[in-house]
Amino acid sequence: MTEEPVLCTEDLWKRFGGVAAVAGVNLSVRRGTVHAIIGPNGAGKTTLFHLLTGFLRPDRGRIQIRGEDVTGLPPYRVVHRRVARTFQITSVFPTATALENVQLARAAMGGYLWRPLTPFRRVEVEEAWEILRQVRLEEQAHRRAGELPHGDRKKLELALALACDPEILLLDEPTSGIPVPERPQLMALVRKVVEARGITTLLIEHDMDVVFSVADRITVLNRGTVIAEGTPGEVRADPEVRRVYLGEETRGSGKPGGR
Amino acid sequence: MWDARTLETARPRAREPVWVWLSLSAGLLVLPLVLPSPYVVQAVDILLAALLAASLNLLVGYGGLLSLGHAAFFGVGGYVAGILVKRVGLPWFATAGIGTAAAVLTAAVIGFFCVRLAGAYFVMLTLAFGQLLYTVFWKWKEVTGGDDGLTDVFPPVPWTDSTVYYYLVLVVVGLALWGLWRVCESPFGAALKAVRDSPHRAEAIGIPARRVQWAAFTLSGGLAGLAGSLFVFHHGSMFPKAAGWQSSAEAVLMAVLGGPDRFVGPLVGAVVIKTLAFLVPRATPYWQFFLGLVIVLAAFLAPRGLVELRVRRRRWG
Repeated sequence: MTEEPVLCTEDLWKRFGGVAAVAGVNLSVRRGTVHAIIGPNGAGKTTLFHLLTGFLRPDRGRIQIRGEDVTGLPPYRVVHRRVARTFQITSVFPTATALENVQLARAAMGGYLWRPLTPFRRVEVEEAWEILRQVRLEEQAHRRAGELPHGDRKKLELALALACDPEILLLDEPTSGIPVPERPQLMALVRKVVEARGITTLLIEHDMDVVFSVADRITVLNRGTVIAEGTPGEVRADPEVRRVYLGEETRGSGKPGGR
Repeated sequence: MWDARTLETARPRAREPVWVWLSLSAGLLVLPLVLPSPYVVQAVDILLAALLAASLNLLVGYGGLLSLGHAAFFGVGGYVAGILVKRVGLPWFATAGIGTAAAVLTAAVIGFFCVRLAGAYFVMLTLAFGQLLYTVFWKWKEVTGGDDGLTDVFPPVPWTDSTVYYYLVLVVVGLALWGLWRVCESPFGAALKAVRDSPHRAEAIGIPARRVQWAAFTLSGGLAGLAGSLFVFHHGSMFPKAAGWQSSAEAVLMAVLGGPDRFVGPLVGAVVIKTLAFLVPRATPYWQFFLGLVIVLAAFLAPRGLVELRVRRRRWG
């Protein structure tokens, strides 16, 4: 018997002009796994994330979260279905402090937005500290997010997503811009946090070392379609994947796409 | 480090010492007792301009939404209140409330469309809607008085006395600004800034970006309408010019010159602009030149507003 997938798509399509960025994707993500989406540039990975989180509306197909249809919901509603995400280009609120960033996510999720007499600086302070502590950012709490070094902004973005109390977390290139030697540490942190909270993680990542070390399952996209899916071992052995993506000489290391 | 003391507040806030607020309040309270009458009339205008500028700054500063139609809501408040007194004969304080409510409704309708656009298109649409309302005030002569204005809408005694009216406006504007300040300091204010800084990130953490902007637009227009309905009974008249784009631009100037990043910025801007526009023409016919000079100097010396001069000095000192 198979467990009900926590997130799945049926025949998902998105076209931009004449290009089908996502062309009939059927995805099924099991609860509690770290599921990586890989593929060359332009394979439709980020478009798929935009579709899953409501930033884009699919031309066709359905998206289900825990069996409920969420197709076409706007992003701020999707997140209330406990699906949170980060962005490929790190996106935080630069003029607010790290703590205020996290507080705001807590405030928005907790329904504080329409309480004009509640002072924002007292809202969810302890909870926000706790989340900053989890991502090891508590010492930067009072610094403005725009002043933080890139690596800390990445962590803050993770904190913002965690503040939404997700069951499903979508990470769009969490290690981009992070020096290669520091990546395993960051991913260990991610792994630890998601495991502690029982979060299902969907991961877009270009660093194959990261992918093969943290992912339980991997889906390979190419030109908007799924060309392989399985465990890291199965995907690595897949001849089609090796042909279009990993390159013959690559054995789970080095850069993707033969660059 | 993380400890219990830092839990108290999110960020240590720079606060003005108590004596600043006390002397400011005391000054505002005794002002009409020491100033000659024309200056009291002017002081009421400054208070109303401060409310207009502060309400606009909810959009410009907090929301990053440059509206060039803000004075139109001031006009709606003033004209609706004045017309209801003059043509229908309702009691004036009730019509001031109705005028404000009309501005809220108008802003809700116009804002509904405007927040769907971004950047320059938002600016253009607010300008277009503003001029549309202006044209109604200007052309609908039978009701609004057109170019000749809506005149003779004075409230009954004792409210015609400028000192009495000053205190009324001081209380109402004070309450309105206090409420606006609370909104700005609430999670809603933080969300509005978040939508300004990073709309996608804001939506991704559960903020309905457009709805937040729409609410800000509605509140902002409503407070402008309140200022307008107090204005019409202050001067006993209302003219289309007060609702036109020049008046909107003047409100933007107050907010930007004073400093859009802080709540007090537009208040300072309103005081400075209105005081200069009142005093300098008495000294020279070339007063607009000097007003322009002040703006140019401020743009170079205090690009984020006059209030930042003080902040910067403190940091260096």
